[in-house]
Amino acid sequence: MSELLVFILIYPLLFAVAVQTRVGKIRPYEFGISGIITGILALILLSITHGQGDVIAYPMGGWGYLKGIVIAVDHLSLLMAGLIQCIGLLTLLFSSKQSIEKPHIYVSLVLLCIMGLNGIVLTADLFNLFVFLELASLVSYALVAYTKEAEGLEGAFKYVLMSFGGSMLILWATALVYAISGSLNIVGAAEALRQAPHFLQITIVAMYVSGFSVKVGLFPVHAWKADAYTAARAPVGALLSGASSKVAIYALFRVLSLLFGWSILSGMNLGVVLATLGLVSILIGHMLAFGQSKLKRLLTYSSIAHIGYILIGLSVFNLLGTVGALFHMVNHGLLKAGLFYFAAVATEDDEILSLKGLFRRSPSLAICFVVMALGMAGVPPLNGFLSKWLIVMGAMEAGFYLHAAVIVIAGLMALLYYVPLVQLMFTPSDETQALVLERSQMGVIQTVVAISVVLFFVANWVFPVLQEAASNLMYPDSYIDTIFNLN
Amino acid sequence: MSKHHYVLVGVLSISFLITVFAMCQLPESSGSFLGGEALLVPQETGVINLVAAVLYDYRGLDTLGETVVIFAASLVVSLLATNMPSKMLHTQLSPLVQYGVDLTLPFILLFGFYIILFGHISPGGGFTGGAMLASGAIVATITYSTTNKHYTILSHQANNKIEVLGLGTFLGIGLVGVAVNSFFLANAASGVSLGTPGTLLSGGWIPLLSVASGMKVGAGLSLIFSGLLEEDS
Amino acid sequence: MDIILAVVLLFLVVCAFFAIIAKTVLNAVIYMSVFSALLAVVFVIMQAPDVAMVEAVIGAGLVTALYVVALNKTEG
Repeated sequence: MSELLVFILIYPLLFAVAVQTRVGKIRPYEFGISGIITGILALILLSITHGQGDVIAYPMGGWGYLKGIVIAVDHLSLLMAGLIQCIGLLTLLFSSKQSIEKPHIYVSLVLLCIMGLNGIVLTADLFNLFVFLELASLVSYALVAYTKEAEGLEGAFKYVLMSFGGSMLILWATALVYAISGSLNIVGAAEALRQAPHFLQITIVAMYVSGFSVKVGLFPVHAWKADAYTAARAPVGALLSGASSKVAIYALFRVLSLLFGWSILSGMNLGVVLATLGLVSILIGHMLAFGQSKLKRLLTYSSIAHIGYILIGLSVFNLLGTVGALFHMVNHGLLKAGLFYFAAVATEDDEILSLKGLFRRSPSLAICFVVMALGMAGVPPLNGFLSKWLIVMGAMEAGFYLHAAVIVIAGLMALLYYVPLVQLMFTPSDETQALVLERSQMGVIQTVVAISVVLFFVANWVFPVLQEAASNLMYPDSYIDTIFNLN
Repeated sequence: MSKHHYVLVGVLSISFLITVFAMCQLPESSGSFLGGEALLVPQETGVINLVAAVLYDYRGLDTLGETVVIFAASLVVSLLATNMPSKMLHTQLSPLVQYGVDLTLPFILLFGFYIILFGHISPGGGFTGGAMLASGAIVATITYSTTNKHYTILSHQANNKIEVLGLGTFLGIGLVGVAVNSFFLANAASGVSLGTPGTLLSGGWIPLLSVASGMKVGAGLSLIFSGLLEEDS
Repeated sequence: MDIILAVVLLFLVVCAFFAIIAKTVLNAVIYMSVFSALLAVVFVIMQAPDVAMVEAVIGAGLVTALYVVALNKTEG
């Protein structure tokens, strides 16, 4: 069944080309949605046949890891691929009822973005990862600029400049890895890299960290995020913040932990550095979120902060923290997507003040917002509480007491800027006309809310899956062995 | 130069120095992990040009990814670049340029086709040849377009069809490997005859893949250019 | 051969510098095109004819044409 891996990699391309060549003959949204559903079915089939604790590797062209490209999937990649497909599906479902000009190009671009993200998640090859990263970034620039208004073009331009710098750093680091080891495979290059001179190792790690943190939008290089996400259409913002930035974090940790192993990395104090970057991101993100008058900009700054939580959870490097971070990736991806959709339907021109009196006009929408905001702030009984709790426990266990305290305080800060919004919604306003939504848009938002409530109560079933994924990240022995045994 | 510029220059030069210092520590011969031996033997793929072997056999997926990037770029350009007028078309070039292009254009195109078809036995290949064909098309557009007519060698629809056909061929050849119970984008492993390395009909699927990516790249880059020239309204 | 390589590399740096300090964008584009042509020479000296060909066609030819058209559109 390992051919399914190839299918998951190329299905968005097939559907994108079909949408693009048969303009006017097929309905783009329906076709794209059915495409992603096929992808999800393939993923489910793959995870059923996958078995317990197995890694599936597929050598492209039959060449093995020394000469060719290997794509491989373990529980961690499966989790990420599932997240990408789900957010992609929600994005297309939601935007099908927005009036977007040239819908066939829009659907093709979203599908190609999903292809790039799938490629990053599935590949075990450094240069291949770069190719798919470039595909995903190129498409994201266009999606940000899709409105063709000055705001969107400015956001896209900043995004291009910063993200291009990040890409170059990643490419440079990949070139250095190849010069040292003669192999582009993440696993194949590891042995030579671990014996390389210390300074060279530090340079490569620094390049990967700074390159990927531009893509993630971490603290010193977060500036593009606010403009790009705010200017983009809400579903695009949801796709970028829900899937793209999570995939970049995944790529950073997968590459570094497989190339060097955590013992070398902690010798460089990388965990402390990354956790501190995450800490600063949390503080900066939450502080900037105060006093914003545009809802999407507020959500973007909160996104920067939540990236910080995930980073701390991963860089404390114990099972609790890693499980928490992976869970938070899923939670934040879904909730932030839901909030972006909410921003698109509930506000006029993205102004927070236009939320006034929303509860009268559409009670269910207002309640959905309250649930999602509480979930983001980490209030029980919602999924955001569980993942933050785990990250805090992980940080305590690893001795990062300051970080743990800041995470707890940051939850309160988040409440402080969500509460005025809720207050505004319950303030009566002059406009009392009921807000009627398209059924599918309301359905998407309600689905997100339902999932986030359900995830809290079925956590017992979710945790084993997350634990498998976390142990794949921390102890990648089976991943390495499977790829080595291909030859 | 403002204060920001000095900071930027300072940061860049420090990182440049660090990188240079790091690169001084690189091992003498690359590939210490592989024992310093040349590992890739292009003859096992049936071609004698190592680059073609890498592009179309060992790392075929990367080439597929790059062609998808070009596909995406042409989509992006046709989306974004159409809301500005382009004055360039409304200028007349001198007759000297016209005659010169009349003479050289056939040779540019011929060379492009040669590069594509002989990519597996001499330097070149589908990517280079496709880019060459596209630059031929661009030269023709710039030279022959007049005030009222936007000249193109192939129409927009034809370019679109060629692009999709090239992509389809690439994927189809890739899926042949899956169909015969080998691997995606497999060449020798899919049971195809490799022929004698160094002759025109050798390398199994490699020449075909080269032609497919040549179609894809050539048509895609021409589409990007004509997309840039197009105007809404 | 080493001297030729050194001279070409020196010109590469000079070209890159002029591309940065150029007064108009069109000048910068032309410096970049010269830069690409020189880079193609470097690749030939380093025995990579395939890469040299790509660099000459795409870097010096195609990209310059695309830049010029894009510039033309921004002025209009």
